[in-house]
Amino acid sequence: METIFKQLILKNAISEVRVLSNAVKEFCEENSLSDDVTHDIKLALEEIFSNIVFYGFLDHDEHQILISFSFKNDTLALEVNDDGIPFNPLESKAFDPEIPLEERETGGMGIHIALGLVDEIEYFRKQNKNFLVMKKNNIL
Amino acid sequence: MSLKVTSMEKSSGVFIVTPEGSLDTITYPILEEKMDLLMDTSPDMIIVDMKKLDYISSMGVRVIAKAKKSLKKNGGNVVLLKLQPQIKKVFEIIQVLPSEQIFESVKEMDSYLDYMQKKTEE
Repeated sequence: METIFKQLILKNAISEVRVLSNAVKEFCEENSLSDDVTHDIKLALEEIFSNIVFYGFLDHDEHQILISFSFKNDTLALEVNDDGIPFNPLESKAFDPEIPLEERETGGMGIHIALGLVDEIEYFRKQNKNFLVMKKNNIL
Repeated sequence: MSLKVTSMEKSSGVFIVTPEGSLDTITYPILEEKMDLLMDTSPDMIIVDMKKLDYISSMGVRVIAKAKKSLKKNGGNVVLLKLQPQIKKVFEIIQVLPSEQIFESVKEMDSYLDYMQKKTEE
């Protein structure tokens, strides 16, 4: 099966979440992916993307955030690439599930949700950029 | 992908808030504003009826957490009702269930409310 590929270039503005969500929806429809898979990747990408927009840049300049989807056999890989400050989501602080929701520090919750929605995650820093690859397996 | 929020007073100090649509990074201020307005009346309980909510992101969860924190200070609470599977999944990932008060039906919730009422009267 050939790889199906799609790439999106977004600006570091929170309003771009809509563009992202629409692109995910379109990609999933084109590839007949289930509502469950659509939900999971839409939310995972929304959390990762908004985190980059909120915390990734120390200046007020416009930056580009690249998101690519590749789909082969029954694995979907999502790659997010940005030139913000180094941030490895895999090192984000875990919370104590014994602590009630309202007492928890809410920072990092989005990352935690994103990580919980995918099966594999890989992070690396290359040429001063963050690369995050999230994979969802057995999606067909 | 929009959010509509309605609210009604079920009984004195008990409000039902019904968000409909998508509670996400863009739309969460709509619910937050409604919750903040309700907070001003120092309610005993806010029931968030989620049967018409299709989507929730961490920003949406934060609004609920914030309301819960504020209500609990005065002995009140926020309870969640009728979560769709994809919403439940998010709460499961952040390991909130089953410690939070989440109800499958109005009946279940009413029996809880009765119980709380009796407890207060005792």
